[in-house]
Amino acid sequence: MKAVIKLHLKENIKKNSFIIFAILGTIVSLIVLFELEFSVNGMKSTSDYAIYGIQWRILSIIACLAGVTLSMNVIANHRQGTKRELLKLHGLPVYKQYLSLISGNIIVAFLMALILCLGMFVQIIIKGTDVTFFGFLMALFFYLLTILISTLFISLLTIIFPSVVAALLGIMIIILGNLRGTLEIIIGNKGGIFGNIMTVFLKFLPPLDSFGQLIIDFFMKEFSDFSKLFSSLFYLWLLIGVTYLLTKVVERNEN
Amino acid sequence: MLIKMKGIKKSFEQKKIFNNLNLEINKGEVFALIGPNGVGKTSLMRIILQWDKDFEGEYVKEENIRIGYSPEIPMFPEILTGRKVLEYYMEVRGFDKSRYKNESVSLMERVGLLLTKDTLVKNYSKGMKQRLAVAQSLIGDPDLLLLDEPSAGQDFLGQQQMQDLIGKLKEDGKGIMLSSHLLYDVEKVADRGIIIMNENLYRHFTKEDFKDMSLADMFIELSKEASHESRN
Repeated sequence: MKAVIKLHLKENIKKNSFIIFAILGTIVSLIVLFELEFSVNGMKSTSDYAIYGIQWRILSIIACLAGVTLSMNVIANHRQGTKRELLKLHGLPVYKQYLSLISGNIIVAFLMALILCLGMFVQIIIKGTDVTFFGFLMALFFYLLTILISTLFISLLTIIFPSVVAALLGIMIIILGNLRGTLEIIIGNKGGIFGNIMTVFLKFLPPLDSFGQLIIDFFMKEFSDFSKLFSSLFYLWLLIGVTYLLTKVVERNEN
Repeated sequence: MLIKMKGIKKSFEQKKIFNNLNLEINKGEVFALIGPNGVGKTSLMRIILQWDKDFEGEYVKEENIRIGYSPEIPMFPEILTGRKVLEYYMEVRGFDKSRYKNESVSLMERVGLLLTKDTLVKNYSKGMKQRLAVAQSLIGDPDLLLLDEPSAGQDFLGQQQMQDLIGKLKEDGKGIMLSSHLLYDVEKVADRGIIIMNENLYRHFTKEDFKDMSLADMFIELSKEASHESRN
């Protein structure tokens, strides 16, 4: 598996899409981070919690979208020609090939996320924000978990659907995942059969909003919501399990 | 006996490819697989490799047999050099780093790519990629080699080197299934073989048969028979 992951990293980090996304993404995130001003009910917000909350959320969304772009063609390319069969002949089962590619997707997305995060790091130093090193590290950890969960989800979609469909679904899921909590309240209040079905549907979406909340809570040393922490980690654990099972099912079907 | 196939029947998208195909490959012999494009030569190799299990009939292979495969259209990671491609597959196999460094160079030498071992695959010609595919098939010292059009895109020297390599592999006791459209070259190296014209029309031959009739003539004769059958 190590050889396939190493090759995947080599192939993708040298790709134009990675370099372009890294440059443009860093410029956009730097502009957003330094110029961000927003208001609530016409009142300009000056609270660090609100400002950094939005900034981390924007960073996460840009990084998740980068994950979609970088992962969308990986599985389709691997299915071309006899690549899968040759690796199988040399002793690497198909499900392990898929797991390697998914791991590679996640590492590439992590690298991109860290590059994008440099802007935030620079801003904290320049502005002298009152954050602890531990708080920043925990925020970074949950930021990377957000990228992990979305890239894992997109990778699963690319195994099932054609690349373009998977990418479009991926973008939709990232948007809905970030609005999950809000949508649950809106739809839950409406009630009715449609409301109930949609509430169940929303439960299957990756809890990107919860991760966003955890990031800012840890960053601002205001973490207290353990139920959110455990439910988010439980979703991640389930998703990893589903990924393993799906690769096994796909291998059986392809055989 | 390395492999034996008896009464193989195979259909693909409702079209019959083989109907009662029989063949056997032994150690130290070159078995040629001849036929027009699309007749099912690659499909037959896929059955032997057990990548395709959707067929009827009996397929027996020697216990613990190692099979190497050189595809007709090789697709290797273009960002790697030829040598690194071999090392990549060796690493997948779990070879030690110290072992695969030497073995990759030795394999590149065997297929005549020593001088271009550190050239990126994306800069390789079709013939060079084909040779690299053959080198890849030799990883792990297989007992049976399935070579699908190994001489395609090769220049004259490349074709000669491929013939020499096949000869040496045969001397080493390997069984080789060789699919090729270069009938004069096949005639020089093949011990036995089969011409597949359609799902029902096959002709087995041995190298002794070449004394009376060349492989090209056998092929033409069989294709005439096939067109005569289709007219009736």
